[in-house]
Amino acid sequence: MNFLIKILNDEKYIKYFLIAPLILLLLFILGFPSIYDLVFSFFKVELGSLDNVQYNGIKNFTEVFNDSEFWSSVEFSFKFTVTAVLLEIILGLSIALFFFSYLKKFKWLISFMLLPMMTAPALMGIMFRLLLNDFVGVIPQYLSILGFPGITFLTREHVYKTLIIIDIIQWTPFVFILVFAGLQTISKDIIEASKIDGANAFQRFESIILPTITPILVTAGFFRFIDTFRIFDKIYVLTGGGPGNYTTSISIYIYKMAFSYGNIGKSIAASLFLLLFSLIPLYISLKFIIRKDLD
Amino acid sequence: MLNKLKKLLIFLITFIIIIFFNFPLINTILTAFKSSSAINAYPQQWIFTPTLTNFRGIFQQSSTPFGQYMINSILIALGSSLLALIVSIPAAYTIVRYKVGRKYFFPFVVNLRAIPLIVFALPIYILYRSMGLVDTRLGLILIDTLINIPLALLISVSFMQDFPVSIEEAARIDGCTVWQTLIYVIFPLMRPSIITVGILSFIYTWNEFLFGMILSINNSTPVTVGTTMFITAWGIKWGLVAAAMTISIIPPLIFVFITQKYLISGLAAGAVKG
Amino acid sequence: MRKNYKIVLLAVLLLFVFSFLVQGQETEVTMLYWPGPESEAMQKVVDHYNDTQGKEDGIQVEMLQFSRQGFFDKQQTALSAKTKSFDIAFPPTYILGRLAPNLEPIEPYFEKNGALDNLDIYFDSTLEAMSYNDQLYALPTDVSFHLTFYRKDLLNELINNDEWTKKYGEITEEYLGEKLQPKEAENWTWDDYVGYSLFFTKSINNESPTRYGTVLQLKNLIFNVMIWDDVLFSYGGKIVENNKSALNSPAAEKALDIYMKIINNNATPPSSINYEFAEANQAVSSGQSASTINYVAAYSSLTSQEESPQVYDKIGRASVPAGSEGNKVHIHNLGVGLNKHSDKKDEASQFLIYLATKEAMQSYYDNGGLPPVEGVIDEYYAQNIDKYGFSEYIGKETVPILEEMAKYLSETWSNQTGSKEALEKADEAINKLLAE
Repeated sequence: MNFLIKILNDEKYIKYFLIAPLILLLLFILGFPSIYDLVFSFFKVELGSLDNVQYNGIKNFTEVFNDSEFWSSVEFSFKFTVTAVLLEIILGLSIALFFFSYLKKFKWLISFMLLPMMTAPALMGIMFRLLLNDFVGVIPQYLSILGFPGITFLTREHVYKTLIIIDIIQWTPFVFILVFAGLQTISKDIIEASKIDGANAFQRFESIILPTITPILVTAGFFRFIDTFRIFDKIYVLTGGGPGNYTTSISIYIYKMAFSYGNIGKSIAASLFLLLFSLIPLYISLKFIIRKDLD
Repeated sequence: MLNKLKKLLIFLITFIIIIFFNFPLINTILTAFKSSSAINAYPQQWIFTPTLTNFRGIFQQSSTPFGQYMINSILIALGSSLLALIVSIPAAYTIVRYKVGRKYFFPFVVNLRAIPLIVFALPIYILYRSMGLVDTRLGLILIDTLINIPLALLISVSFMQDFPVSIEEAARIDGCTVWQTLIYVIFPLMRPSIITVGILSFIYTWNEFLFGMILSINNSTPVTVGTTMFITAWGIKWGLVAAAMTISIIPPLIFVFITQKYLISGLAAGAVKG
Repeated sequence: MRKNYKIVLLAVLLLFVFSFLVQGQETEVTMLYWPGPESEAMQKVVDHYNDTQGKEDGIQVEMLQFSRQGFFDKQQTALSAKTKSFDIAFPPTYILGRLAPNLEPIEPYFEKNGALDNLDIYFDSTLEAMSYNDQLYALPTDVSFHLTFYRKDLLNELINNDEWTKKYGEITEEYLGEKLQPKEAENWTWDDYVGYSLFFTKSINNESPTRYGTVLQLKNLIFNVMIWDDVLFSYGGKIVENNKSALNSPAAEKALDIYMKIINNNATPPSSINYEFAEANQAVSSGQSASTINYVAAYSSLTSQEESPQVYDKIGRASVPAGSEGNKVHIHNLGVGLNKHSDKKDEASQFLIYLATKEAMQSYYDNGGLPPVEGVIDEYYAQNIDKYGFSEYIGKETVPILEEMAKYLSETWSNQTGSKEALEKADEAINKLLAE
């Protein structure tokens, strides 16, 4: 016991002990799965018979590569993410500018804007299932009264737009909050000074506001991008990836491949493809976003 | 006169914006208080007699123990937030003061958020399977801790960097060991950061769905997955679903209104600083 | 401040301890069950057991539900994880083969307790359906098949009102090429069903009191394929013959034709492509649709005043309409079996033995279940099963085959592909599955 205490306090080793729990935890939760993923992507494994594995070479990878459903899910994830994020940035920015000019005083209103993002995405999906329900949903009822009866929100015709709107409702506040916080750092004096100098609204925007918020927009956009790319909860709960495979995002594809079709090998191969795709934002994040002055 | 009109217009627009973004939530809460017949009415009324039957109902069905779901979620969210902090704070100290893992390990961990977790869903399931961790709260706590570590580490490191070394040195001179310094000097002063990390981690874990769905069967079902249990063949029982969701929203709701300041600084730190 | 931390920690610890302590002296057996009218009915049986014989046996049964969406995926995942979280599993006929490796045959337990005779209460064919490799793996709890549910008030009017009959004749002549007379539902052919559906669709017949004449379940789901199979088999179609796909046939084209006539003439709500059991019920109970072909379990919901206040007393039921080969209706059984990985198989089997009694099954039936037990189940249902029942191909590939069919059929139902193309693709997919 004493020996242990001595070691624990030894200056030479302390730094390792302090970081050991974190490393151990990561090794356990992250290490094993990574190895498993790598190894078993080369085997044929079924969910119902996890103890029976057959060496499969790169067959899993070729199967995924040739699976049109895989590529549709990638396409869906990509298109959806880009559209949603762009719209969220534009909308979030606009609202922030509006609030900033007129409502700096009502800080308490900000709480209400935080609410949507603090709701579980899965619950948001269910809330919309209720709202859009053909029989008791409020939205179809009001649209009907306003003269747009029979809009089928979850059929191929409209489901994509529906999902985008839901994502916008949930996450625009994220962009809004960040931009709003950023705008607050702009000193009032600078704005006053520029007004005195005769700059009009547009010029003020261009030379003062824009430089401040651009990094914020980029960062917010980046985080929204990586988050939306792996979207699962919301869509799964609302459409299950359907109709057919129409709204199957890449995460849903991987999930279904493992837990619905029971094809473990293929699911892992697809996961590794996804991991490869994720290295790009990972790299960007490492290079540009992380604080360089870590001395 | 024109000024007053302008103010009214601004107020109106603000009101509309807030309602627009909170519409799903408002509708859900209203529905929770509606009786079966009110829910099925066509068209839906905004004015109705509220009832608590739905709230009683979700606790009454023994095959969907909502109370159990809530307890599970509370334990899992608390557990993983605490665990994330416990491993991250000492690690942050090492990273900043001893420069261990500063160049590669730290950025790696923080950027884990860029990796979609679905990639590990299956192997974790299999790992847990062989360890008997499927359908346990501990299992969910562990994986949720992983989800919370990047942010916890980031904010801890950020704090450590801004923390004046002089205070530490003073403590050391007074005879404190490193551990004592950490616990008695640094930790108390870290309170705002800890609260921020704690709240954000709690909310993220509270809202987690994917692993909750895969790794829980009966005993460890969290509230996000539990709510979907009420979506059954009876399309009509939306009242129960709405009541379940309304109660599930309460913890995040409380945090938003009471600790708004911490939330915003946390989000900003997560996004802007790193 | 430090005091507050301690209090919070204490509270959390207490919560932990509390959640463990909430377990009584008796053995708790957990039974996984399908969420729907069936679980509501079973809950009553379980409650009764817990209050009476359960006390003698020292057993308390808890029911467990998963969400309807992904129910079977989750069960499979749980069983693959060697879970002990439920002791009684839920293997309907069509996935019995797939789940068998994780189930334990139940007959030995019945024999051990001298209760082998209990099993006599079930129809022979149903026990066969719950067996795999000559072992009985599950007790049948419900026999699941379909009926036509229609608005008897509207059909009565149609038959007795000359104006309506005349218009009916005009509509059927225009859309079906043949002037039809309205008939009692029990005597319907598929053409009569289509005729009724068209007549009660507002966009075709302005005077229709309902917006849509019927509601079809067209979601990409195997349960919806089972309903379409009624049409297929009633025209002499088949899915598998001699270990090869026999799907692509004139019968199948005719069956698709019937569906498409309804879909393309808007006699079913446009969102039907997303519909299954619950939505079909809702369409009828809300007064939007005048009929539906749905699982028998729907009857209790549709005729319940609480759940269908607008139409509960206006619902009639009839056998599924007839094709050229008569009436055919798909049958499968829901059932409960023993989880191989459970530690409480003996106790769980006690409850199963209790279930396999006329009293328990009568109670189940009275509360909305449909047990295939002679003398308990409605004569009307028994006859339907006897006269018209069929099972599609039963084997390990049953579900994958139905899934492929669901995929391609739902594509043609949503007019993404043509009927011929869909049948060809499904045919190919089935052959591929059978070849493996």
